[in-house]
Amino acid sequence: MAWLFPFAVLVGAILVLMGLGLPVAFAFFVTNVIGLYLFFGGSIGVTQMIANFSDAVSTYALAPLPMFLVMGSLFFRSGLGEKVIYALDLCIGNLRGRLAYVVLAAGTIFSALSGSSLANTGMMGSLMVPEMLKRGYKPHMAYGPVLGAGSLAVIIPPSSLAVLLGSLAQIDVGALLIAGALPGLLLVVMYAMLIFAQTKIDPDAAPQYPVPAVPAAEKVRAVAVNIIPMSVIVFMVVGTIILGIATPTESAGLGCAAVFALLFVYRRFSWSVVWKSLDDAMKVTGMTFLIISASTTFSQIFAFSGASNGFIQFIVGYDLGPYPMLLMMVLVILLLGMFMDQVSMMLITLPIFLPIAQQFGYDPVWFGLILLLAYEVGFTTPPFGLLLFIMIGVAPKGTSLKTVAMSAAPYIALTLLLILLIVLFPQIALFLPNLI
Amino acid sequence: MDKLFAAIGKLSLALAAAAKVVLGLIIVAVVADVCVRNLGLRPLAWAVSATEYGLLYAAFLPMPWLVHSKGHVFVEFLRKALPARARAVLEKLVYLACIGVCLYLGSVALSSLIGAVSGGEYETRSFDMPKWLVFLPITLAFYLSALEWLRYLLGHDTLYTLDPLEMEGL
Amino acid sequence: LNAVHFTPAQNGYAQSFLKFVQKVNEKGKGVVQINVRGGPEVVPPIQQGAALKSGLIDVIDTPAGQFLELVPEGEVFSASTKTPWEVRENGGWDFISGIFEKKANAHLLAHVDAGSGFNIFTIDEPKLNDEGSIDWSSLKIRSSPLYRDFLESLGATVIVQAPGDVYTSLERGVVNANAYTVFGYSSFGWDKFTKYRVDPQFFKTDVLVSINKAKWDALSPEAQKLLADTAVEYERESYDANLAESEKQAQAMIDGGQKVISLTGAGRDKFLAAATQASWARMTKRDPSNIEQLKKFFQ
Ligand code: NA
Ligand code: NA
Repeated sequence: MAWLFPFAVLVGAILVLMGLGLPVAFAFFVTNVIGLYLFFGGSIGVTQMIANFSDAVSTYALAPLPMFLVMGSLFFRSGLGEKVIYALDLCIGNLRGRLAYVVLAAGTIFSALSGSSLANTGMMGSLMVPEMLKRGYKPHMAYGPVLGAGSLAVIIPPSSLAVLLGSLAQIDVGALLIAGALPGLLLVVMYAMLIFAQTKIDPDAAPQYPVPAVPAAEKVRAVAVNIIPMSVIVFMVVGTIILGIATPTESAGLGCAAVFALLFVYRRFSWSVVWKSLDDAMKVTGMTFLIISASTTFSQIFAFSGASNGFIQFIVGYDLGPYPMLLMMVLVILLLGMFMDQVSMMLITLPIFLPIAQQFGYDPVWFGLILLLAYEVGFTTPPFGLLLFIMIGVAPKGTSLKTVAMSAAPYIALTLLLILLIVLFPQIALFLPNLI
Repeated sequence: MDKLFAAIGKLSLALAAAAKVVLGLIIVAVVADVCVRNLGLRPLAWAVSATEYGLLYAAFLPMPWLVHSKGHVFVEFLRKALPARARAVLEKLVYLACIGVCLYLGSVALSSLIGAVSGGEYETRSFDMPKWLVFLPITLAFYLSALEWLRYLLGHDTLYTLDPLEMEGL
Repeated sequence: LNAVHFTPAQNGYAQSFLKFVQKVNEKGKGVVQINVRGGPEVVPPIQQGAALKSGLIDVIDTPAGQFLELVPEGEVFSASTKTPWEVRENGGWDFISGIFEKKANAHLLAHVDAGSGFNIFTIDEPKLNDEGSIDWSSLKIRSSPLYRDFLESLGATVIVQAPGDVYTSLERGVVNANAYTVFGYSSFGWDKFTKYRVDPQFFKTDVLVSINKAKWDALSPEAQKLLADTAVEYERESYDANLAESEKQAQAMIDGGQKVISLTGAGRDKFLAAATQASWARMTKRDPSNIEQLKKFFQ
């Protein structure tokens, strides 16, 4: 039980410090200093941590987040977003909670093109959340769909997380990617049913504001004029990826360029709008990236001290049958997911999980997909949930983590339900891979 | 004292503004890289690495201003359980802890920076990046954040003034 | 002695290192023991050199290419045309060890998993021209920073990407070629798209097992001898094992439909010369003082 001391110190310190009101990043800084002095090299370790900050955030894969934030914010602040939503309203008509469905649909399409949940959440959050709140949607009806659709990005192919999991676990990468398609779509359907249920139970959650009655010709004109900017952006973000012009990482920059150009076309360009959009992006990026820097070292101390290994061995060390063991592994991931990022979790858990999976003869693709879904849940579980932090950043000032986390909770429950369904009906995962 | 903290606030704001410029330049670099490549010209070898370092600056330069403007996310589930008097004391302790950790990490970053300058250290990506430029934003961010936390400690502001309607906490 | 390795534990390179550790720990009962703390989840690979230098970690299993900023001369291992034992024979090992001691506070134990190098893999069939080379300008190659200079000098379009994004890029045609070792290539699923392998290999794998200098000096002569002997023995063993495993994986990809295109004649010579030139030029730019001697030992 030598692992219990570092485990208790590290988890205890982060929980207590956060609970006492230290900002998340600073709670991690203090915990890291304590952990480094107790378990990992003392002052030499602190020097190493400072060097570590740079490597944690200066990776190209994180670049889409600030770029999409700029894009979404430009769109909203310039008033272009409002016009597009007006046009959407005319298109869809009086469906209750229609913007929530729009978010879900758009987020799904984007998930099919990009593998970054951070980017997906940043984009949909900054594009849609301010407009939804303005139209009287209750916060959970605005945040929930964005968070749900955001985490889909790692399940629906392509997904760099799935590729990483496949290569780390020696699972056929192509099969694992394809395996995510059906469960991903199933999740979308479940999410849509959730939105429907939420608006049925509480009709005020998505108020029914009147859509102006306009003549048909006017309607067509409004839709044509206002949907065009949206389609230009969709082409720049989505089309350039499909055509192989840009990588998903780069397409975020092209999206910004597209909005920029549209501002000129629609005569809405002003430097103050640009400066304000950069301000929005700077705040969310600064807050999120600082937390990423701080939490990376936390995961490393956790691993070096033996806390993670000991903890995992403790939970999966019992002589269990294949299904209870699978449950334990998912449980480990859900618990770790409260404190660390997906890649750290994979690196820490896979060396222990893989031999167990082999011993029980799990189908590797089926097992990989279940793990992927479990890792994905960590994006939206407090206290360390990166998507929650991004959402707080784009939400109105003073929005609490509790509000945002509670909005995500039903979506997490559905993901867990899907894991259960895949365990009961492995064909959900294996049907598509078996076709190829 | 007010004047001093006003000046510190201005400096924090200036760093945040610099971060905004960096974000703008990142977008320009990425778009330029894609354009150049698709026009069949020689790609910008420096664009990816420059963007990566830009992200480092975007992470740390806003830190003091986010302290000043309460932009760092926090939760209060234990704090909420305490009586008002204890909360007032706790608040000061939180500020002290933040000042302490910022000064400590700032000084470690500074000594890394000095070591990097005197040793001529660099990082090897698509170009060789002097290491002191890596430590510079980190050092500035921690020292300036310490001063911004000092402003809270001395009672010029409080971190925990939320609209009562939004006080669900966690 | 605590230790870290640069790949995740289940990966081949880490497995190889764990074999070495097992040998040491078996022979070294009561004398010296290595306690492996993990891989990149403990210290990110590009910081392992610095962690060794500062004494945070005692032993690392990490490519020299990951800490070139400490020891620019480390690139000589990937540029080398000689086997590790030839270099030990001709005095090159002692020379480069001296440089690592001075610059990275590191005592080199072994150059392990050596013997294989990098290949270019393409989606479309490359056509050999009269020179025995191919039209590099038609390639958009995914690269890592280590060999981007070289690939650019060939005239190819180079895109630097993390391994996690490469699958999608190949699938979508953002890149139509990739450069990596045969070893581990198929674990990323890349062989599904890149049906052609261009030979010969360029550069060599440069994984070093190194120990903190102060920790080394503090060891008993008996422990030092045990570590050194095991290291030399394992260097050879892992070389053979790596070659065999690479050969096996190459064959598996060929069985999966991959074709090998070999450069010939002048084209081949030019290709290899450009690779060597790129490494030596970069080393010379960073620190020219030891270049002449290094060339004598490693070329
Ligand atoms: Na995706
Ligand atoms: Na979480």
